[in-house]
Amino acid sequence: MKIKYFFKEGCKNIWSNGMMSASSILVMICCMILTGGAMLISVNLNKTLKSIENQNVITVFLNDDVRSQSKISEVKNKILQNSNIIGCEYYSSEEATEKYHDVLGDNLYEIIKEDKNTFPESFHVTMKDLSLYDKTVSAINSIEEVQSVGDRSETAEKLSNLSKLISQGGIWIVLSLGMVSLFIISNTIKITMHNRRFEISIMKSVGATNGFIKAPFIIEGAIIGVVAAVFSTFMLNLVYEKLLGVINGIMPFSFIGFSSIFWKVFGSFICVGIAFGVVGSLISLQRYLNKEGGDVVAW
Amino acid sequence: MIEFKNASKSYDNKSLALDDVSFTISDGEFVFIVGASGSGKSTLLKLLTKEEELTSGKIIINGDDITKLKKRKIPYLRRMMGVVFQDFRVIEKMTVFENVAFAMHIVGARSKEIRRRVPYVLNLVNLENKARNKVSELSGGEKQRVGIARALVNNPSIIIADEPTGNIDPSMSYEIVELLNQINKCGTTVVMVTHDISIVKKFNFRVIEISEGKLKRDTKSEKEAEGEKDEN
Repeated sequence: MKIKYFFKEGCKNIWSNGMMSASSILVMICCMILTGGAMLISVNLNKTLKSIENQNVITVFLNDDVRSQSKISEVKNKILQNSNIIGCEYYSSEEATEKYHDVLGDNLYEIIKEDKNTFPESFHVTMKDLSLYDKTVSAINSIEEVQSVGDRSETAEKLSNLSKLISQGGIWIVLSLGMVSLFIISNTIKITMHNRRFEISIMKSVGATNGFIKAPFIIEGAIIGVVAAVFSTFMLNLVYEKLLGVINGIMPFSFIGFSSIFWKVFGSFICVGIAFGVVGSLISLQRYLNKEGGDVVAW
Repeated sequence: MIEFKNASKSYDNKSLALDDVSFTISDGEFVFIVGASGSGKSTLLKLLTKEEELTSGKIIINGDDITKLKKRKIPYLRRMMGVVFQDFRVIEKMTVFENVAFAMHIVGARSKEIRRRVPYVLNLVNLENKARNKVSELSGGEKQRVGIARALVNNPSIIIADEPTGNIDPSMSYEIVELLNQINKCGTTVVMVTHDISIVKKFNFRVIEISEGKLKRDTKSEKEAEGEKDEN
C-alpha cells in the first residue's frame, strides 16, 4: 500500500512540475545518447581491431625494378623458405590497378592503366603462427627485393589510439553531462519540495519519518531516470541503425548490429538513469529535510 | 504528563528565549500559555515538538526525557501530539476528507481504518456535511476545524494549539476554543498558546504566563498557594 502511495505521489510530483521534469529528462537523454554513442564507437573499433589482429595475411610489396617473371619467382621462393609461411600468392600491378578502379575514377584509371609501373608487384603472404608475426615480417623485410610489408600493426595502433581517445573523451562527456544532469535533477526536486512545503511541514508535525517524506521524491528522481533511459535507448537505436545503413557500404569493416546489444544498452541506461535520479534527489532532500516546522513553510 | 525542569533556550548563544522555566502539566489538563509577542511562548511549543533543542534543563513527556531523544525517534514523539496551527496549514487543493485522511496515511493507517475514522472525527468538529468540499471553499473558522480534525484523527494524548484563533474572527474564536474544550473533556491534554485575553477570561482554565523568557505567573501555583493559606 505504501509503495503504491509513494509511486502515486512521485508521479504527481512529476506532473505538477512538468517543465522542470521535462528538462531533466532531456538533459539526461543527451547525456545517455552521447555516452552510448561513444560506447558504440569504442565497441566497433575494438571489434575491428581484433579482426585485424586475427588476420594472418599480409601484403609484401616488391621494389619497382622487380618486374620480370623470373625475378618475381625468385623472390617468391625466398619468401617461402620461411617456415612460418604457408602461402604466397602473386598479385600483379594490373590487378592492383583494377582493384582501385572505383576509387580512382574512370579518368585517373585510364592514365594509371597505361603506366604499368604505378603500383608495385606484390605478394599476399599467409602466416601459420601469428605469435611469430614480428619475426616473420622482419625476415621478409630483410629480403633485398622487398620494398615494404603492409604492416597491420600500424593500422592496429592507429585504431587502438582512436579507441583510447574516444574512451577518454567519453569519460569527460559522461562526467560533465553527468554533473549537469545531477544539478538539474536536484533543482527539479528542490522546486517540487518547495511547492509541497506545506505538505512536508504537516507531514513532519503529524510524525512522518524522514524516509516517508523522502520516498516520493526519490521515486520522482528514479522515474525521470527511467523515462530518460527508455527514450535514449530507442533514439540511439534509431540513429545508429540509420548511420549503419550509410556507413556499411563505404567502410571495409563490419559493424555490430544494435539488436545484439539492445538489452545491454537498455539495462545500463536504466541503471545509470535510476542512479542519477536517486542521487540527484538525495542532494536536495538531505539539505532541506533538516528544516523544521515554520522554517519549512517560510522556505 | 508534561514537565519542564529548569528549561532554558538561547538562540546562537545570544539572549535567552526561555530562562530557567519549570512547570508541570498533568494528564487531561487544559492550559493557556500567554504572553506578549516575543516572550517565548512559541519557543516553548517548539521545544515540546522537538523543532528546537533545549540549551539546558529537561522536558519530560509521559515519563520520557525528550531532550535525550534520538533524531530518528522524533516522529514517534510527534505521533503522541496533535498540532493546530495559527495559519491552519491545510492543503487548499484537497477536500476536507483528504486533508484529515492525509495525517492518517502518514502514520501508515489502513484504508479501511481511514474510511471509518475520518467521518467520525469530522462529525466531532461538525464538518461531516463538508467532507467532499475543497478546503479553498471554506471559511477561516471551518479551515481551523479541519486543522483540529487533522490534529485529532490519530488519537493523540496531547493537543498543542499555537494561537489557533489568531486568524479567525472573534465570534468563531470562542467556537474553536469550545471545540478544544470538548476534546479536553474526553481526556486529551490541551496546551494552547494565545494572546487573546478575552478568551482566557471566558474560559476558566489554568494560565501560564511567560514574560521575557521567564515564567511570570502560573494560576495553578497561585491556587495551590491560596489553598495552603486557607488551610492555615
